[in-house]
Amino acid sequence: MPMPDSAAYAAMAAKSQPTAVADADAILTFDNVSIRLGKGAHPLTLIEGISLRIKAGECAALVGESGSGKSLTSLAAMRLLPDNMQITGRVLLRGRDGVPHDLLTLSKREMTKIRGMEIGMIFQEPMTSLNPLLSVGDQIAEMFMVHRGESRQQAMDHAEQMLQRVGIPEARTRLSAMPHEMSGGMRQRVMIAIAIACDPSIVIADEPTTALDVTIQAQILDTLRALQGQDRGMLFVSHDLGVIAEVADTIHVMYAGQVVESGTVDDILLHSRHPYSRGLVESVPRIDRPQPRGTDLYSIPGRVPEVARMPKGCRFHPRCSFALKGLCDSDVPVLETLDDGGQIRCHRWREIASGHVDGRQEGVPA
Amino acid sequence: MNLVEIRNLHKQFVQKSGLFGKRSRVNAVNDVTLDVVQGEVLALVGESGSGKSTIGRLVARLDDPTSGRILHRGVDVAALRGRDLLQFRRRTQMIFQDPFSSLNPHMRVRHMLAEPLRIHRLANSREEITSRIEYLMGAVGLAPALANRFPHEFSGGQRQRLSIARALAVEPEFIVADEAVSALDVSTQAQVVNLLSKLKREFQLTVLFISHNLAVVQNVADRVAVLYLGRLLELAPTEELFARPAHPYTRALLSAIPVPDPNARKQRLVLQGEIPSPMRPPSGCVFRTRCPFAVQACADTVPLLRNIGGNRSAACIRDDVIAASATPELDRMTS
Repeated sequence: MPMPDSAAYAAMAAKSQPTAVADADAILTFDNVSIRLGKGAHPLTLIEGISLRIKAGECAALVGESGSGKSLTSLAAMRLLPDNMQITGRVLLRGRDGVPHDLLTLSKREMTKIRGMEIGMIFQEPMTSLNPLLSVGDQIAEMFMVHRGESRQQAMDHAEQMLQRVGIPEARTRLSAMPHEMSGGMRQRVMIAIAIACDPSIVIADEPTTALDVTIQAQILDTLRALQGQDRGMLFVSHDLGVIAEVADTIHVMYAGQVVESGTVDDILLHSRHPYSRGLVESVPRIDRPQPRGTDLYSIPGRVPEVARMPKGCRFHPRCSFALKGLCDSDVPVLETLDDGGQIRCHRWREIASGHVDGRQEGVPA
Repeated sequence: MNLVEIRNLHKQFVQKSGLFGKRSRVNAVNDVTLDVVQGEVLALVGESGSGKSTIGRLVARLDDPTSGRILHRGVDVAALRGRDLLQFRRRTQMIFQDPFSSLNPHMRVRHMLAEPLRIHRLANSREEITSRIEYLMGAVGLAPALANRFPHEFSGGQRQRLSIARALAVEPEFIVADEAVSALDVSTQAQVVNLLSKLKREFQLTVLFISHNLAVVQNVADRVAVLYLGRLLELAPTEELFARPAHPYTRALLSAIPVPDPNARKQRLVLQGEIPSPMRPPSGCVFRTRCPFAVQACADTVPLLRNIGGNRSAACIRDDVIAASATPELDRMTS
């Protein structure tokens, strides 16, 4: 059984007032989180007002293109942002005491205890996340020694069990392997073993399979799914909608630092209502739905705006075929919460969902 | 007509391990024979260590083969010297994956595009160069005025357009595109794929399209060559390869591609095990260690690439598996 670190809890409880959250099931909650870069009168807003909830047993995906802010959002939850960025809002993590605590109010030291213990992390490139000078056994055992105070022998036994759980054969002999002796897929399995070693309540995975070959990716996705569990939440960051369809329950689509649409996997991938989400889904070339060769792939015109030059009104309007002059290019759309629990940020989503407008005729030129 | 003929191509790299370590040899490309037909887009697909990029570099003569030959219009590329080599360099152009490292950061776009024009004497006066640059920028969908900028002032997709413009500047007939759209975001990727297809038609190019992204390959390629650990395992027209993959590896590769459809969380054929190290490839068939159909004989002989009907060939000794590739029979054999 995992042993809660009582000192860390005492510190957390003293520091952050337990907060009443509407959804008691939520393990991790982002409450109006914004990230700004630089001090002074005009900081750049990188992330604006992200709110999302991850429940036990749920895998929530953040999807977006480069510059959408999906990785920054996940780093914010781990408090791993560089010092020149400021976070506002709240990131609430339900601790083992069942009470949500605001991670943003914790000291660095308290946060270090939370990381690994309560939040497991898996990054894209295992070679840069693993210590090249330590055997993988030592690196997994460290988790048990630091967070649970186990002896080295106990910790090594646990490390061996972890290697077995993530599907590494001959676990006993592999304990002494160095990271460089392993393949990319095996290294990522080691990362997963470290991430879930202390049985954290949430795992944050930032593009965990992007650097892997496709047959190895399939194996790792299987492993991640098998280890998801009923009590754990997962925040899965990826640009690959195919990978997301494999693992996620809910999807939050990000564009230019904002969530533009949220919903279940089916909502977003099969009947999305936001023009950007639709465009993103459409742009993915698919082997299951081949289009006649030589015909153009669908693409969203233009490109993601720069942070310093965000368009007025809706940030997507210069690329949007549904954009209306005098509305989308001037009024900022709010993120509406819908009856079905989904969220959408678009002036015209109702018309678009009902099929009453044809985007190709009325667009504002970019 | 074959523009390029690759015959029994081998490329071996020598790798020294450790300070006093012994040298080990890596067979990056192992006995590959393949033709590139004039006017086609031939895709080379495979995972890490498959040798697809090495073949691309050898075909563009950025590297020399250990043995075997590459014939360009019937002439051995390795034998080219002087003016002939310069001509070859003009006719064969490469586009690389990372537009951030393949463009000279100190050169304005204008100079970057003018340099090959001067070297190959394709434009003589300043006016001619200017009009040619304007034409090229237009051809890849960039405003001509942007030619005064430096590469860092462009986004990833725009930089890849610049790489394409630079390749087109010298009026090539053959383009080797090595993961040319792999570093791009999906919405931009589609733009660049469409641009490549359009230019291929307009300039009547022959393209060797190297990619690990089979969905993109399905859209752009006429034929597909599947590589694994330096060996060519299957070669087929695109539609047929995707509709009825014959080689067990091709089947597994297609099955592993995730599609953005939650209803498609299917029982996929997940390959067991790792891609073996190219330094210690398995004996016999290189794929046998992960192949669900492997039998003892697979360890004994290297399977030859052979015709399996139509324009298709595969390197697999299991006739029954190949024959069953079009039928549901195969699924029963797997389980």
